[in-house]
Amino acid sequence: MALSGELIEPTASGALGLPHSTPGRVGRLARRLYRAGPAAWIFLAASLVLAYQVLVPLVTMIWTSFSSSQPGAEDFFSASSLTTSNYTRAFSAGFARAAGNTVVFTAGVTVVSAILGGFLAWVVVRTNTPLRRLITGLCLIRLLIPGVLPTVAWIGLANPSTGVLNRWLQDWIPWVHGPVLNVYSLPGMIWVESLDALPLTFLLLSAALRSMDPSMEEASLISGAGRLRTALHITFPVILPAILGTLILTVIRGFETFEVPVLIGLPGHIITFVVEVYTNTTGVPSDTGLASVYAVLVLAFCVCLIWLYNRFTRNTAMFTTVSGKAFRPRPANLGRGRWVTLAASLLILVFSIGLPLLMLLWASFSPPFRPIQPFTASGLSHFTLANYAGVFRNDTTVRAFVHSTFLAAGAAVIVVLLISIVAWVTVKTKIPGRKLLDHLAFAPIAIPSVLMGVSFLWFYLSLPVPVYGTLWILLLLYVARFTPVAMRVMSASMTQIDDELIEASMMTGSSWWRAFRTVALPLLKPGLLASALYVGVLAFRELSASVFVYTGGNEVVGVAMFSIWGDGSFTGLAAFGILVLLVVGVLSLVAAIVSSRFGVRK
Amino acid sequence: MIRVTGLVKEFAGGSVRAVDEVSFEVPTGELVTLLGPSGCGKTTSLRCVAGLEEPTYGRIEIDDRVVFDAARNIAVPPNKRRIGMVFQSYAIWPHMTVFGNVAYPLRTAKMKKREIHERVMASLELVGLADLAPRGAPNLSGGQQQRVALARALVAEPEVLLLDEPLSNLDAKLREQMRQEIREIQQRLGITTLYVTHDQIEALAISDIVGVMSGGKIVDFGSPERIYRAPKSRFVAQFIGVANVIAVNDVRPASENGSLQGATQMGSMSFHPDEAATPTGGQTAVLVRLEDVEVSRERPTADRNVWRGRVISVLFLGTHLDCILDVNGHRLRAQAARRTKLEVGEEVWVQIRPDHATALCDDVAGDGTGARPAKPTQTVPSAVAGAA
Ligand SMILES: Nc1ncnc2c1ncn2[C@@H]1O[C@H](COP(=O)(O)OP(=O)(O)OP(=O)(O)O)[C@@H](O)[C@H]1O
Ligand SMILES: [Mg+2]
Repeated sequence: MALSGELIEPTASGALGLPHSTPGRVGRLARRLYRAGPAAWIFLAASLVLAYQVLVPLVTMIWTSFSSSQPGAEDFFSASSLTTSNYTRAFSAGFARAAGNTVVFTAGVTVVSAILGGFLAWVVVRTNTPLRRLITGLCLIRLLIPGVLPTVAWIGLANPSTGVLNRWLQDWIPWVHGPVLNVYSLPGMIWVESLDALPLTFLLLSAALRSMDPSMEEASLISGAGRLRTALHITFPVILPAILGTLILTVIRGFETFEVPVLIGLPGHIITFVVEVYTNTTGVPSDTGLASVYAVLVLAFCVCLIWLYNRFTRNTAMFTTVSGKAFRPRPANLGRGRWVTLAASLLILVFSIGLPLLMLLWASFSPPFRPIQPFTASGLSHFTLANYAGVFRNDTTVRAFVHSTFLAAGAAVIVVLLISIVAWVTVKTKIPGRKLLDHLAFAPIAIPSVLMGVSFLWFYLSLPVPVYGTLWILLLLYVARFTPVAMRVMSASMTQIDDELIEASMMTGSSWWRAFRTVALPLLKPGLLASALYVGVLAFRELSASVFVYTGGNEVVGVAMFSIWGDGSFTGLAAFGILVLLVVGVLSLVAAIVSSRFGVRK
Repeated sequence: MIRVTGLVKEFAGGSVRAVDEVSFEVPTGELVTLLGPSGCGKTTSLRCVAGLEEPTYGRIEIDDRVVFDAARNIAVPPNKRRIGMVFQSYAIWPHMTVFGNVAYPLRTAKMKKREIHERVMASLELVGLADLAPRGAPNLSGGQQQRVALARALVAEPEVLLLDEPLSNLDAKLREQMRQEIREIQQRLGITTLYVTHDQIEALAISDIVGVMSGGKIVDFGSPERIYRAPKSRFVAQFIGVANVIAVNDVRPASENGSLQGATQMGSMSFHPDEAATPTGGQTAVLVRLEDVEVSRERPTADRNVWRGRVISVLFLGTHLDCILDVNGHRLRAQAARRTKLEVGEEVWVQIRPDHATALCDDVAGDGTGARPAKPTQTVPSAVAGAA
């Protein structure tokens, strides 16, 4: 994903080029645009919107990192405030420690989640272990749970003073005295974040395993090799590119993730880059200079990795060989061993989804503001609905539900409008520069949501338009954040549309708009619906970007969860979290039903 | 030698019987083809022999070694069966060079470096790819990948060679060429080979013996010549080439050399009984290949199986004319030489030599499957049996 200026340039010239401007390339381009009619104007408008979504975060972050002033201050825009002192300050104070923590954390998460996810993928795709569908289903469900909830659940399970697991260990194992597990440590952070990244690595790796022609392995068996030799010399090297691709994505995730570093790392004094961005932005007094330097570092790293990822996945095309027929999956018969693999898989899932959910449920019924009892019958007797009542009595949480519903719906509609134009223009028209639109729409995927949040904050703080402090800034933020995500979901169904269908419609004399409305839109509907629902679910629970731009009175669900936690009410958060999960679950169920009815496969 | 006895393979807990009581033998040094329409169980049978699929019942021997026996609970894993196999997708490992692909079975066997080199190069020489040895595997053309797969299957000098539709991913020209090469190499090495295909011409051209499969069973098994000339059933007849199937009533022995005689719509007709059995009862169906219907303007000298007919349609097919004749109300399809220049509406003579007409004794009813035993029913209305 290139984010350089050269990508932006053609739009600029296209936008400025009037129909009869100077001859030459720009002029010709402009004339062709002009002749393309209304399509061209829509194209231009979409390009501007998308370019703004990429440029705002980039320029704001970089400018702020070189500014001695603060966004919103009088002299913020003056060139005289430019300096490199932010960088010299950042590199002297605590930089090495933050860098070390970030690297260890990211590497640990990558390794652990790749091992666990790889194991589950192998079990599901390549063995005859029972309950494989259940394993896949649970991983998909885990994907829907907002990251805050398992994080705080693990704090409840493994904190050194009252952690439920710690108390179990002390009660049941005679030689254990005092806490064994400490979630407020690098290993603790790695563990919690790995379980969060697990569904993603699982999905990517099982796709990789599925795409491998099983006769590659069979050819090895026939050649006299055993299962182990086949796995080491054939299976592993053949899917290595896909594994590397997955690893890169996990690295990016580990680098940009917000919940675990802030909720566990910050109180545990394990400072990472993301924590630096967060504390320097939201602390009082804030230090936007330092925050922006760390933001630029994170961004640079992510962009490099995405570039690397694209190179890898492009090269994997070389690694696929032609094959006439579709593969029939041929899972290995593990015999009795399949019960071992089942037990191991279920254990992983218990850690990833079972224990955290149980912890949340338990806490949501426990008496507020008292240490949580371990899961025992005596604890049951203290059960109360006070936390749930509290959620409905609390203005903030009710408001947050309303705001998030509005924002999710708004973002879904706008994003879908935007990407349907982009998809249509890039795939089905011949407008010059249309590929650029595609790149622009995808580009923000390289910008971590934390950075998206801070840069929107700084940008609108320093603009005289009254957007900061309203819900609109959140809407703008979500649209920018989820456009590339929706592009992913959408692009598959886009290519299915045959050019000739549209051309046939145009041939009958209908206008471009008519062709779009009567032929393309109905065909695109399933993809659009799926994208809309997906964006809706993600927007409803967004936290890591919203936490920077929300203001009192404009809370959203993610932020509300975060602030309840900040108030020290674990039980209140648990009850709110369970309710949010129910909403997200219903939304996702609707999404699943709708997309299966319209024949969209995810 | 490969001997398969009573092989049954069920899928999905017994609800799908992909292979149903199949028994056959591949004699040492010969090439046997399993031929049949899609989904008839060819691949499954082959994979059972390879050990990649575990049969539900049955026994498989390779060179007098029992590699599978359901009754005695013997199942030799595929890597211990000493076989070579070419997969339909070739399964060339993309992360290795051509040399690495071919050397893999030898390296697995822990052979010495020098010997590996010699044998790999000899094997690549055999398939004509010696100069591509250092090339990366993904950059090969389809035909080259096919050759690498063959070289890899042969390099360890296996006792038997299994090929699953090895030519189906190649274009027509290359397919013909590779077909010849595979046959040549097989005969030169004298390697016992089981070959799976759904292409009847390929099967006829390459095999010592053809086994025709349908619905999980072997419905005919014999030399290509026999299968073509005297198929066991209407199904086999129609699957292999195009033929007329003529209904015959009133069957009785003819005067001389064991042939039979009966009444058809065209008139009285002499024909040969099937090698295995003579038709019982008064009715049967007789198979006549298109090229065995002789069309001429002069009256043939023979006194039997000669009729007068009228040309209904003529199709010019380059090598010959494909025409449909009306013989006493019966529609007969024939191939005439190009030089006869037949015209529609012309009156001609039609001759079918008795030894070119064979009774399909197990399929009087002509339900097209050939799988069921003969049951005497009414005569077949149309005698023209076009190929699918
Ligand atoms: N793993 C399986 N599970 C269920 N059914 C199967 C399985 N493998 C094969 N079958 C079924 O068994 C039958 C025979 O399949 P097989 O692959 O042997 O056919 P084939 O003769 O090789 O056909 P083709 O020419 O298309 O390759 C088919 O009906 C197929 O659907
Ligand atoms: Mg097959």
